[in-house]
Amino acid sequence: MKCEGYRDKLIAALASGESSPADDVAAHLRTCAECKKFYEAHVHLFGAIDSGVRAMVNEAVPASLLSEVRERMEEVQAARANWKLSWSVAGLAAAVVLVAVGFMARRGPRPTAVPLETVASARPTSEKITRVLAPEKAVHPVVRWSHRTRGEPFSNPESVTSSPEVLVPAEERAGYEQYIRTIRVGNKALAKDANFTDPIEIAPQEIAQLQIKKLELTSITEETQE
Amino acid sequence: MRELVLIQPGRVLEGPSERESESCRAHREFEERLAECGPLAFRVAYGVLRHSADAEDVAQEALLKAYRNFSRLRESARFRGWLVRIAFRMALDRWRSVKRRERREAGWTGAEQRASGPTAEEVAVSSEFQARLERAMAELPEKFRLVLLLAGIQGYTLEEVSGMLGIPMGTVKSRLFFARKQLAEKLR
Repeated sequence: MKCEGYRDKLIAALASGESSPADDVAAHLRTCAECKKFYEAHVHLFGAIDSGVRAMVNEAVPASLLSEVRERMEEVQAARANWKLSWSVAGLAAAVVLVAVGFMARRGPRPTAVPLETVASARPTSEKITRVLAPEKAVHPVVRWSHRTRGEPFSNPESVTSSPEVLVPAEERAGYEQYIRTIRVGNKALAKDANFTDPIEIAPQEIAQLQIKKLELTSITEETQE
Repeated sequence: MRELVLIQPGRVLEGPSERESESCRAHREFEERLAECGPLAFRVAYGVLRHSADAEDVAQEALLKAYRNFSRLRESARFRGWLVRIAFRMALDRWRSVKRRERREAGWTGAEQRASGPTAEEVAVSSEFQARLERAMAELPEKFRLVLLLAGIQGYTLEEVSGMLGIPMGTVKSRLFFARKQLAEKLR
């Protein structure tokens, strides 16, 4: 074996922490001065490495380390306690809010204030009311929505077979039609489907013919004489 | 006369008082380990940073991090290895940030100025060699470096390092061998 091979073995043995080289290597060291010099240099090098590493890690521990850690542990404990307390308060507040919301929801929405003019105009009148019939399949959007409950999907207008009727005073009919068209802006199909039929029964107002008697002309003087 | 005990059916085992006692138990258990593991965390951090104040700071942070998450540790036997890894990782992060800062600041000459003062063993080896050794160690793979540092701590055998890191004894020896060999090649 050449010197190079022995030197590799030497380094491996030193890196493994072996105290003395193997027998064959030791025999070579006795005969080769260069390898012996190499071995001694590396024994010193590995010793210095070990001493250096030990010096790195065996520094005296500061006396303040544990006491400061304990102080900070107490702070963590206190913060945890505060955190738990604040979450308990927050949970309690959330529960109160939920109960209040549930109570309000059960009471139902407040009736909205109606202007006096509207109330006055909504009085039943003796006028004739025009009857407007929605077509058989085209469903009035307001009526359709009124049947839908929360969480239920929109029903297909085609599948609804009812033909709801809307009673509209004759004088308000044009306005009502306009209203239906304007509130459904963006849903032109529905607006188009809102097909209003003519009134099915319009009772013509019969007015008795006036009878006008012919005027008889008499003189004033005759009347005064009589 | 028979004694009757009132039992609350609605009461569950994991009530607030049980949780409280669990927390106290974890606190007490951690406190018991602190005396042994605090210095270990400091030494690992110092082995990386070579600066006493920085190492103390990192050791404190590592211990607090371990304390906060102590209840999540399933096997308490692995506490030391867990803490060592936390301290080592945090020390490496700190070391990298220190190096970045050093590169930014002109005139900052290196680790020798950061050392807190020579120890008895530092006097034994020359400061020049020590500086070269520190640079060579910084270039080692992290797993080799950690094993080398732990094996260098007084009072810890290779078996203990193996148990601490949860790796076989053969792996510890192999890592130590390659670490020392690489250092020798760099410092030759």
